[in-house]
Order: sequence, then C-alpha cells, then structure tokens
Amino acid sequence: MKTVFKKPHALTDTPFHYCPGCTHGIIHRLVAEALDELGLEGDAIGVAPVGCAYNNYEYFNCDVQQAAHGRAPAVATGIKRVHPGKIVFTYQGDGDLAAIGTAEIVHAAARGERITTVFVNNAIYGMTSGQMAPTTLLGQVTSTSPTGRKPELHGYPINICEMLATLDAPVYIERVASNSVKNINSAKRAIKKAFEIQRAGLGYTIVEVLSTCPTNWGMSPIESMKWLEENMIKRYPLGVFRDRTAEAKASAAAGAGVGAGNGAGAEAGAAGGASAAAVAGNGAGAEAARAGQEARNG
Amino acid sequence: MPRYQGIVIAGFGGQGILSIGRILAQAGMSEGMNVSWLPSYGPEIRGGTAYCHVILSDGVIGSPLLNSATALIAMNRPSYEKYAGLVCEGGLVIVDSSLVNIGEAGEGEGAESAGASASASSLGAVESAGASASGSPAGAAGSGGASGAASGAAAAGLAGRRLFCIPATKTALDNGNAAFANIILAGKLLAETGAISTESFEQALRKVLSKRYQHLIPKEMEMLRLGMEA
Amino acid sequence: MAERLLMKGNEVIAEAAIRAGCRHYFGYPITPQTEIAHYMAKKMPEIGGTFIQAESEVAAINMVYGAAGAGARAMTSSSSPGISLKQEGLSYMACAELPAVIVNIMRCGPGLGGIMAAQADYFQAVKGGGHGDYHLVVLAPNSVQELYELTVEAFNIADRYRVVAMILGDGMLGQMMEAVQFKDSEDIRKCDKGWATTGTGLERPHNVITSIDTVPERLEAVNNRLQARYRDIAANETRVEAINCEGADIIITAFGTVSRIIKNVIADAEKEGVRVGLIRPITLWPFPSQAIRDYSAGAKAVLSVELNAGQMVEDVMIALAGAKPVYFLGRTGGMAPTQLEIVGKIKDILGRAS
Repeated sequence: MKTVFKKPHALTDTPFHYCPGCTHGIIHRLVAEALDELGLEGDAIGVAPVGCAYNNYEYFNCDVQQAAHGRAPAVATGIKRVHPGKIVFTYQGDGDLAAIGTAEIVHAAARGERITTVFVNNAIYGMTSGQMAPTTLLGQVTSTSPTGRKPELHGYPINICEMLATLDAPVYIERVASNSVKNINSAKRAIKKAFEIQRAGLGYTIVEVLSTCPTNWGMSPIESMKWLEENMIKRYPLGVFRDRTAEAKASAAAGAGVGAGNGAGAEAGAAGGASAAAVAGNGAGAEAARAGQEARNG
Repeated sequence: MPRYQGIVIAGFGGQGILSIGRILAQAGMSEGMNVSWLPSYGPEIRGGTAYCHVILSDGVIGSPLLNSATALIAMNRPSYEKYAGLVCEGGLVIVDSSLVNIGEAGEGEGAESAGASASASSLGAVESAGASASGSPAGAAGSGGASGAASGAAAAGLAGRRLFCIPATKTALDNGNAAFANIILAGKLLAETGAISTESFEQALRKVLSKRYQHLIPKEMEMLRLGMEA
Repeated sequence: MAERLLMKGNEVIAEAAIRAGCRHYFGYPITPQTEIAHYMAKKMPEIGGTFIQAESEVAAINMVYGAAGAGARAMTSSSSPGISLKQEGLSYMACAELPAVIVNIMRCGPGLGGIMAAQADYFQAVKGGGHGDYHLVVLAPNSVQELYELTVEAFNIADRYRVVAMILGDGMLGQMMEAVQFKDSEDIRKCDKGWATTGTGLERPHNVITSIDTVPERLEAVNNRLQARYRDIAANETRVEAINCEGADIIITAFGTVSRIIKNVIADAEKEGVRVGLIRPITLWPFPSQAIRDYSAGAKAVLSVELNAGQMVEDVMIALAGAKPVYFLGRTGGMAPTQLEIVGKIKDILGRAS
C-alpha cells in the first residue's frame, strides 16, 4: 500500500486545540514538515510564546522551552549560545513579537543571533479574546478598538519585516501567507530555507506568516481567508525583504565567521544609505513602504 | 602589640587617591595582615571627590567603613574639612599643603578655625538630610557633604592629632609629574606610623601598577623616600 | 594553600562564577555592580564562554532562562532597580524549575534612589519578589572571601534543587577590596540535567520547559512539588553565624555588611560592660528561625540592625513569636548606623529591659 498522506514525525499525536479555520495548525505542520525533510527534528529546540500557541510543545516532538510574553527571542538567544550547533526557533504571534516583545525581537535580529523566528501575524490578540494588536489594520474592529482602529487614536500598524530589514545583521526576511495552496507552498519553502540558513550558521532568519483568526474577526473560516487576501496582504505585502544568503555564505567561506551577516549589511548600508525598500529582494519592500506612506497620508 | 591602621585618603578624582589606597592594602596583605579597601564609587569620582577607607590589621576586620581613623591623607580642602574630625587622638593628619592652604592654621588656633568652617559648611547638609548627627554614608561615596560625626569632631579642633603639612604636589611637579604627590604623602604616613615596610610598598607597586607604568617604580620609590624625609 | 589575592567584591563574584563552571553570563549595566559585567566581558571570550550585554534587564534574565533550560550554568547580575525588572523572569524560572544564579548588589531606593549601599530589597528577595508562591534561595555574604564561597555554593544549590539562588550583597561589599583565596574546584558539584532541552537526537521523548499549566489539579501538583522542595531546602541549607551569644545581655541580628559593623560594636560594648551577641543569617531564605530562638534564649532582648526601614526584623519577630522583646535600628538612603549609635540604642534598650 502506498502512503499518500501522513503526519510529519516532528508532530506529536496530540490533536490541535485551535479554533476552526485558524491557520496555526497549518503553520505547525509546515514547521514540522520542514524539520522532517531537513532531518533536523532531533537537533531542534523550539521556543513557545504566550498567545494561542503557548502550548505548541504539545504538538512539536522536538525539545521546547515555553517563554514569558514577548521574551522568546531572548530565551532562544540563551539556548543557542549554549548549543550553537542546534536549530533554535521561536514561534511567536503578533502581540507577543510586535508589542510586548519588540525590544527582544529587534535586538536578537540586530545581534544576528543564528536563530529562526516563525512570526504568525493575524492582526489581533487571539488568546485574550480579540484585542487590538500592533498589526491590527486601520479601520479594523477589535474589542479594544470597537469603532475601528483610527490612526489619530491608535497609531499605525507596524510592518515587522520591513522594520527588521533596516538592520544590518539579518540574513533572510520573508513574508508569506497561509490562506491558499499556492501561498502555503510558498510558506513551506520559506520556513525550510530559513532552517537551512541557520543550519549553515549564516545568521538571523525570520518568516512572517499572515494568518487568520475567524473567532475574533467574527467571520467564517472561508470569509477569513478572503479577508486576509483582500485586506492583510495589501497592508503586509508578501515577498522577500532580505536575502543575503549568498553574501553570508561567501564571507563564511572567507572565514569572516560571526561578522558574516554584519559585513554584508554594512556594505549594503554604505552603498545606498539604503532604506528597507531599497535593499529588499524583489520590490515587495518598496510596495510595503508605499503602503505605509499611503496609510500615513490617509 | 597587634598592628592596626585605619586610614582615610581623600581628594579629587584623578589624584591617585584610590590607587594609593590600593597599594597600601596590597602591601599590608603581603605582610600577612588582614586588609580592606573601600572606595568611593559612581559618578562622583569623575572630577569630583574621591576617597577610600583602608584598614590594615592583625585582627579580624569588622566594618570596612571607618567611624574613626588613625590617619588621614587629605589632598584637597573639602577632604581635610570633612575627615579631619574622624581622626582619633594621637592620629595623623597629613595634608598636601600645595593644595590645601591651612598655612594660617597650623596646629593651634588655625586648626580650630578650620574645624569651625567645616562645621558651618556641613551643617546644612546634615540638616537637609534629616539624619541624626551620628550616621555615616553606607559605602564610600559620600554625596551630600560631610557626615555629622566628622563635622562635630572637626569643630572640636585638631587637638591631640599630629598635623603634617607637606607640599606634595609642588615637590612632585619639581620632580617632573604631579602624579607623584600621593606617593610623597604616603611616604610621610609610612615614616610616622611604620604601618608597612618600604620593601612591601615596592612589591605592592609591582603588583598594582599596570605594565605601562612599571618603569616608573624606581622614581616612585625615590618619591616615597622624599616623603618619608619631609 | 592558595595565594591571597587583593580583589574587588564584584570581580570575585565573577571569578567565582567562572570557577563554578558558569560559561554564560547575561547582564545590563547598572551601578554598583557593573564590574561583574566588565570582568565577564573580558574573561568569557578567553575561555569559550558567552557574555552578552542584553538590551534590557528583562532580556538578560530571559537569556538566563534559555541557557539554564538548555542545561548550562548561567548567571545574571544587577542592582536593585534592575532586579525589580527581572522579577518576571524569576517567577517563570521558579515554576519551570530552572537552576541559575542571580546577583543583587543592592543600592538604595525606592525608585532610582541612589548608588549607595542599602539592604532595602530584603523583602523582595526573600518573599518571592515576583508573582506566585515561590522562593529564591538567598545567600547574604559579608566579606569578599564569602562572596567567592557563597557564589560557588549558589550554583551548587541551584543545580541540586533546580531553583534560582540569589547572592544578596550591597554596594559596599561589591565595591570593596579584601584578600581572597580561591579554593580548589572540589567545591563544585555538578548534577545530571536529563531534563534540559538539548535536542532529542530522536533518541528520547522531547523535553519541555514550561511554567504554564491550565489544568488546576496539575498546577496544584506543581505547586505542591515546589513547596516540598522548599521544605527540603529549609531543612538542609539553612546557614547562620552566631558570635558571642552565650551569656549575652542582648542579641543583635544583622546580615551582610551591617554584621561587620556589629562585630566592632561587640568590642565597643564589652568595654562598657555590656555583652552583645550577634546572630548573622547567612541564608536569608531559608531563614534561620530556630537558630534565632536558640541563640537568643538567654538574652533580655533582640535588636535587628539593618540598612532599611525594618524588613528582616519582621522575620525575627515571627521566629521569636513574642518570646523576646524585639527592637529595630535602621538607616536608609545610603546612610549606615555608626557603632556609637548602635551602642547608644543597646544601652537604651537594656535600660528599658532591666
């Protein structure tokens, strides 16, 4: 008999507790498939966030440390410095990473910690029942922005990938989405690539995955997928915001060691006084910057 | 007779106050004594007042914070005013007279007047701190003026203390570097107390001074002897 | 016999940690403990260790969380305001049963306060400090030599019981220099850490480090396990020094640097015909309640002298449960009581007690 579908080894047998239509389950599976296919499960050490995925260690078969809210990048830093040869990843939501943990993510990225962040952005606080997140879209209704997010009252959403792409050290920054077969395949490719970069010891990697929260958005799963496509991607364009894999490999081969990512970044910075948009791999950053500008103008 | 010295060294940051204290402590330790060295710390030491308490003792050292000193080396006027009163009867007060003008003071009436001015200048600080006159800063960085104990004793004058006014900075400059002033004053301390031997002092210099100053040791020892004879 | 070295308290803490096998230090600058970071920044790269100046106190303690969870001996250090920021991490580490060492070289508060020595973080240190029912093992050295010995011991205790051990010193102790002798590494006892996240290697079930459990029955079981461990620690690790207590008219309780002032007070009072005993808790948690009862049995009164507005005195009163009159003398704001002041207080108390 030919097996056509099976659970990745890196996932446990525990059924997911996530709400119907939530894409955490999909993203967990992508992480687990990537670990399986790269043969990294036994070397992987995950860091769980505070948020709906707080107990992702129930699902991941690898070793996991659960961190305080927003502190996953600091915890991962501690782990990676003890076990530089292991694959250390954080799995964080938007409240965790982009609000209470902003300092930790920015500085782990700035130091070029050789860890991978899987950043799940659903534009809302899920676990605490639908409050406004730093990534909540303008106009989006949440339990703490009941008449919609207003710039004059709540400020603007934060584009994490674009922001981190202003730093020198990160080697790979990409935003993907979990709402269609095409996007999910692309997300898997990105996560796998991030782990490969880490395995090669090249530097910091982050993959932002746009996701849904039907429960707190007040939509059906199908409406949620559509809303993500039509609204979130507009604000958070998909694409590669940084890919210095080649440069990092070259300077690693040249024996530059720890400075690999930094060197490349410094050069790029010097070349253009470059903004996030200018150094982005495929122009998506430029779009993002424009979107940001429009939002501000609007 | 068990050996004991409780020494306060005070002046401006940059005069080598902390390092001369450290050299004395290192030397005392090499002679088998128990020693402690408690510095002022924090922003105050940058250009402000620096001081340290050094205890050399054959017995167990209790508090590293001196309530009563056997000797004071004062390298500026505020230090003299602040700590002279801490010195016990029969103790030493060694002043860099190039920098502290107590020429009109001497050991008689002048000492009284110096004490009186210390009392006046520190009274406000004590009152504003709302502390009783018997406290002292915990740790060496005395920020708000003198402690009550010091000013009280200073007001009573220096009777019974042995005052030595040594033009240390001038002598040091005559020998090419103002930085020797602390060593010259330490020389006087060694001569008057016999607290440690010159050999131990020299050994301590070797331990404490960084590589780039090691070549100065013969000159430092010459300055120490100048101070001993001053 | 090892060589006597003249070293600063803060540097000795760092050296002791390295000698105890700590290779992961994470910190943030704050006076008066910064020399620990300076020492680590210089030494760690030379011995293949990690020094990170973290972006915040919060990040530093969470890096310790990660490193400790990964099985390493890890440490952070700070001073009072910074320790307040680390409380979140300490509470999480307590529940996740992570061993580590944290150093608090206390300055005076509240708020930014000042950089002078104080003991006003006693409550924070011994009563938990963060949220939830937990304890740190709190060690209070009073000399540079003890900073070495107790820092090494802090790592041993932390590993043995899977708890965080705190070195609670003050600015005076951190900044002062005294002679120190480093003993041999036979003091260092390392434990097997089969629970650590090291990667499963596909050879064992996964290890999980966590402080959350949403099932009340299970979380109560976690709490019960922690409390049982705290009872073990209290039974095995309580440390105290008692001096001159037999036949003493009055017993003084004091910890850390203040206990050294009391050693001078004992001599001063003796000259005036008053016999003063000193009970110095070396572990502030577990608190040596039994020793306080035993050693003060013959005295007329007990006086607690502290650099705060009255904190350890509460534990002294709990220990004595009304068996003796308990008095307090404290100074705050960076002031320390003089010997004269303490002797005056003693005479005042004994005048009242007789």
